Amino acid sequence: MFDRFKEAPLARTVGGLFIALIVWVIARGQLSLEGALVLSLGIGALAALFVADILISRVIWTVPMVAVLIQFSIILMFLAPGDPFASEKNAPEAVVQQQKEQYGIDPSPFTFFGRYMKNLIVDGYLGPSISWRGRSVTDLLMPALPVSMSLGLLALTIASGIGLLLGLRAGVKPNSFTDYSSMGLALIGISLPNFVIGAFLMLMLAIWTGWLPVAGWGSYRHLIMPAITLALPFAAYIARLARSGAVEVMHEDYIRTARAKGLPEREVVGKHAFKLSILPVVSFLGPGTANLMTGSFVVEILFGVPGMGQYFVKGAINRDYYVVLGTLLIYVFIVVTMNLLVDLAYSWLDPRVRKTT
Amino acid sequence: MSAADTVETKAVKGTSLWQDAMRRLRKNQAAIISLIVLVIIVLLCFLGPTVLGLDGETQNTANPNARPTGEHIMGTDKLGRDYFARVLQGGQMSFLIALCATAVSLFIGVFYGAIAGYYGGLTDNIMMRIVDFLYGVPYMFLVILIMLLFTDKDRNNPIPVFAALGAVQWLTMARIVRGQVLSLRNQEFIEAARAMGASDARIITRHVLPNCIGPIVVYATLTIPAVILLESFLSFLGLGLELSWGLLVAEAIEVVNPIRMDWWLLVFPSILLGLTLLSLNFVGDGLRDALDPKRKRA
Amino acid sequence: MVKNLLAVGSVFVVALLLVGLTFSSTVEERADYVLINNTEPKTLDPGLATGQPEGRILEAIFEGLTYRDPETLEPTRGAAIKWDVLDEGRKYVFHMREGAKWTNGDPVTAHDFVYAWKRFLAPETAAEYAYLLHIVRHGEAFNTFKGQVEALRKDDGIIAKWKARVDAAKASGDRPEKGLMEAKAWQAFLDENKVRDNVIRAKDEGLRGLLARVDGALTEADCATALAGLEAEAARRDQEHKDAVEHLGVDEGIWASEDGTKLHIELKAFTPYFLHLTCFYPLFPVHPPTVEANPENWFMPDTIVTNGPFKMDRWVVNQKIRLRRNADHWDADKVELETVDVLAIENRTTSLNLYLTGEADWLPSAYPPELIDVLKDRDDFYGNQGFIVYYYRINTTVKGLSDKRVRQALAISFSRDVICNEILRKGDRPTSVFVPPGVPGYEPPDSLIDLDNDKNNLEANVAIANKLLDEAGFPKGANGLRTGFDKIDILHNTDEGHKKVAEYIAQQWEKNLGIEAVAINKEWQAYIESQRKLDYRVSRAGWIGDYLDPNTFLDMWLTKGGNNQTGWGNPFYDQLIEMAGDVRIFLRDKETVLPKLREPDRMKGFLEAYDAAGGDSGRKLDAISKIRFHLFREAEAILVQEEFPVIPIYSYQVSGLIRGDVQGFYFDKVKRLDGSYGPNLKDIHPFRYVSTARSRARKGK
Repeated sequence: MFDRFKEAPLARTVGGLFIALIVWVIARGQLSLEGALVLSLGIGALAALFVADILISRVIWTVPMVAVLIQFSIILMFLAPGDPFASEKNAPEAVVQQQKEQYGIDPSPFTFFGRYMKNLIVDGYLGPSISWRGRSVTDLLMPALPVSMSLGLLALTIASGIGLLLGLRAGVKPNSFTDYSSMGLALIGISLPNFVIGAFLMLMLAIWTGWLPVAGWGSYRHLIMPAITLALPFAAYIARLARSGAVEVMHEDYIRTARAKGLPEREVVGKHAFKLSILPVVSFLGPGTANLMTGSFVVEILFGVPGMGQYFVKGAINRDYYVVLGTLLIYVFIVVTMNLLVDLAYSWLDPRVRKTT
Repeated sequence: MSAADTVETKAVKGTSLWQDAMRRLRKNQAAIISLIVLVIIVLLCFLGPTVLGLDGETQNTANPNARPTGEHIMGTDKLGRDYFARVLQGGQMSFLIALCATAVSLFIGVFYGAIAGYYGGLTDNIMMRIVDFLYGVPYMFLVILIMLLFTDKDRNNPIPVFAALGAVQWLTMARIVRGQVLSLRNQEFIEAARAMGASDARIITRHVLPNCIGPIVVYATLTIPAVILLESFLSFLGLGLELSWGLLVAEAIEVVNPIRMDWWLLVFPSILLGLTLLSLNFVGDGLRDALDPKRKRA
Repeated sequence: MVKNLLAVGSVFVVALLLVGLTFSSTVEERADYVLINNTEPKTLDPGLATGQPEGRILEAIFEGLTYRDPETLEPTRGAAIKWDVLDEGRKYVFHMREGAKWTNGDPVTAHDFVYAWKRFLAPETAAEYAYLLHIVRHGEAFNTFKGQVEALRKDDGIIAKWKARVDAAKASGDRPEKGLMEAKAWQAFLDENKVRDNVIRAKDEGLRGLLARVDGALTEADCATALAGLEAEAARRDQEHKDAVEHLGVDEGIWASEDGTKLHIELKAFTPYFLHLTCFYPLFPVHPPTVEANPENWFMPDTIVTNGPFKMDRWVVNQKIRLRRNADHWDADKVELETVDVLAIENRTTSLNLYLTGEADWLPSAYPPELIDVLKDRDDFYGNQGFIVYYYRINTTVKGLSDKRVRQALAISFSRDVICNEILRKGDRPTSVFVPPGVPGYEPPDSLIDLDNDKNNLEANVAIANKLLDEAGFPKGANGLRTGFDKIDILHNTDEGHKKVAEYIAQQWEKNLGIEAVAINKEWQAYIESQRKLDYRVSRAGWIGDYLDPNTFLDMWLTKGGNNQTGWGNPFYDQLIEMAGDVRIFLRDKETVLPKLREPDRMKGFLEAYDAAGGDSGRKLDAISKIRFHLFREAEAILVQEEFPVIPIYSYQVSGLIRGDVQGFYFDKVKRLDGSYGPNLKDIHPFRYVSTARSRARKGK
């Protein structure tokens, strides 16, 4: 039963340790010391013994790269002019010094990295927010995370719906009017900045008609405009992929056979083409999440959504190092997880891939 | 951006293939029309101001925010400057940024991908793992962080913007090129060059890269609109240029609301921006369809 | 196939359910009064807060010794029911209100104020506004001296470094003529080690003299004097800090009577604006046990304890704070609003749209500036002069700009009228002086800037300016440009308005004076840093007065002051500001100071009034106020008649939108105590007594 482990004991040990580390960092903030220790080591050990190779190799590569990314980001932020305590009203030197000490801002990006990693690994602590006093980065981001996630998920759903519909319609009859019109419609999402689309929606749906609230958060009605705005660029990419997939599939032999058999077009498309043309779309969902988040900066600011995106922008502008790094970490964690899930889903959806793994 | 992920990693070789591709491209009416639209817009932006004798600098505080008239066909902006001229100048800047950023991303991506693909093995493995990982980092993060570095410079300076945008757009290019090179490197003509004692650098630049031109062109075409769009986000966040289509639309959404509907400030740059991006996307998609060898089965 | 589809579909269904879960909480009813607060408050700790968005909330949930009357903005009896002013205005005794309670039921006592103010001054708190209480006896020593002593005395501190520096100079053979060290090297030492910050307002005469030494060389004896001076300053500060720690909060400076019913305040000198500070949020009390329990984040909704007419109900970060009427507050009967929502929306278009669709009642200033033309004609628009000055800093350490004639020329050769009324058109007023108008009783000095000829006869000013430049030794060359004069970069932070002004002024300087100039635009942080490092030539700036007194605008130009950032300094200016801080110094030294004043006769008049007052303390305080204001007037005259380290351009208008049904919001004018009306300079609109159609309907009124 330990076959997997025996095949590559070293890699699996390292991978297991890294997984334990990730679980530890997440659990440390919520559980007691012992609880977190037991949980992380337990999960790490189980993972080392049983999980799929792909997960182990992902983790082995990702963990050190995240560390490099943090160091790199710290260097960039330290090189940039300004500091978190800069203000138009210049505080006395002693006050600034006191604040720097209080927040652990070292003069060197390398010692700061050391301190940050120590906080993160030993205590699972993402640090204090400098511009929002008295709150830790976790305090700020925890309430924002579900907001961003629900917005993202809804946007993803809408985007997949619109994208697949238009993409497949276009791909089934390439170079026809249907193709051009569907793709033209789909590509609007990446032909206009989403703040323009969002502003237009706000004008139409909130101001002129009064159907939806202008901005804010709290009811499902607040969700509609931001989700559509966020979804449109995403829909464009999906449509493009679905179209390519469909075009390709339509030339496969079995589709020709199906057509030759005289199956109605609807059935050909629905039954056979859909299945394979959806594959590239699934594979896009992983990296696509990263795209979605880019859009979310703008959408959150425009619609006053209390999500995570705006923390990054504001954190960067205020040089709030901890907030920037914390947001970055959480985003990377989400995207890497999504990529992994997508890879797993992909192998499950596509029999060709399944056979080889 | 993964838009070009489906570009097949097979070699494009032989002129007949190019001719085939061009034949297929001509069949794609949307791409052809887009190409024409694009050429018109580029000409308008770069030659328009001179040929039509437009002046986007002179301020006329007596005539701000004027509706489109015969004299100012796109109206005037808040300083009374001719908006048509401003929009064309903004277009120049957007194109310039897009081309430079794409060039930067091409440069990084092509060499990165070529090196990874050519040397293979552990080098390839490490380099591509890094690319895989960077895919997981929302690129806007990096753009903003890189932009911060340059905040000490004057905001009129476009170099930071395209450097930052180019620096995050090379990932897909690197993947594509690497795939191409990987499949090329063991082919006979490369072996022959190697046998003749050509250096690695020479082989890569003289023999390998010219054979990857197709996918590179396709992807570059798709990078341009992505960069223009990205720059507009920066403008919205207050980190962009002082004049570009992105900035014009970002400013214009402030004055399109129930109490003042200066629609021309939003509509004209949006139309040009939208048309340009749409055309570039159609052309890119068309090129990809045309160059995709799989389509040969059709 | 169908199975796969179902799988994909079910993933989405689950996803949507998750989305639904986040909305399980019931939708809240709209609050009685909704205001858009621009940005998320960075803290609600009164001692640490620094901005207007924070201030709006703090003034609702806390109450100082006094609170602002919404109509007059004058301090009105709050936590204190009355106060005695003793000792020529140097001592206040506040009698605490009986029945004032914290939201947890504890009474509000004088001890709470002592605790809050001591905490505010404690160096560990690192409060940015702590300097406000430097006017209190021991306040400055308690706040800053410990750090200064440490900087001077620690092992690698200033004194140690100076000793090493002198030893190195002695060992080196490379000595200047007649001395041990170049004065330039000494000045470099001072700057590098931030010595001035640490011996600020030095009393040691030897050191004071040397601090001003810019030219020549320092002898061995000078170096010894400097060392002795540094050591003396360290010793004095150490002693004063010890005294402060021993007495502040106990029996000197700030202390409470045993039973907590009286609060005693000793000021260093008579400070007319002190009472106004007591309704300013940094001096609000805090509830000691609450702060002790969670020093970092006691102000979170589940722990916060307040004493104001409203209390915090909910705080959704980056979205809104909901306040609720505090029914236990002594003034609760007069509070009409049951709930108030304070929204954190930064995007200006979105803010305006929220207001226009009726989802907000008050939108202070955060609308898109482009819309001012249309907005200002609306009935619900209000705008009035603010206590904010828009000005240009000049780096006086660079070639050309170090000559005051050049600075004068730059100051007078563009039109402020054009800037305000043609370029910006947002209701700002041209100004020729630095302190914005509005301080009752303060008359600004005349200025070299001639506002009368500003627009129609600018040529007259330009002619004077050109003559000044010729005299300064920058003749016009053949190309029409001044020879020997480097191009002027006008630095501004990213903003459309700043850019327009900078471009206009650059163009005017080039056209009128032959000085090349160009606008340079930097992101906020980089802009701040460039100014701090003096890495600029001319830079746009703005300053908001903290309290209604010229001092808040004038003390920043003290030599090497933290907010000076021009490299400019003038000993007489410093002396005037110091004397205005404590008029007794002037009364002591008046014989030597009077001849140096620009308007000695005017001052003599005030001195006579002071002498004539005799034992009448009211008349005496009045006379001291006038003398004090005249000292400020003399100081400001140095800035705007002669030196021009800064070029004042205009004083801001503050504005916003307020719905018509809102009552108790005094938007245009503030009723002064003497019955006259003045502008609401700081755009402060306490919502204590505000009512809206919604709140009145609920109450059945």
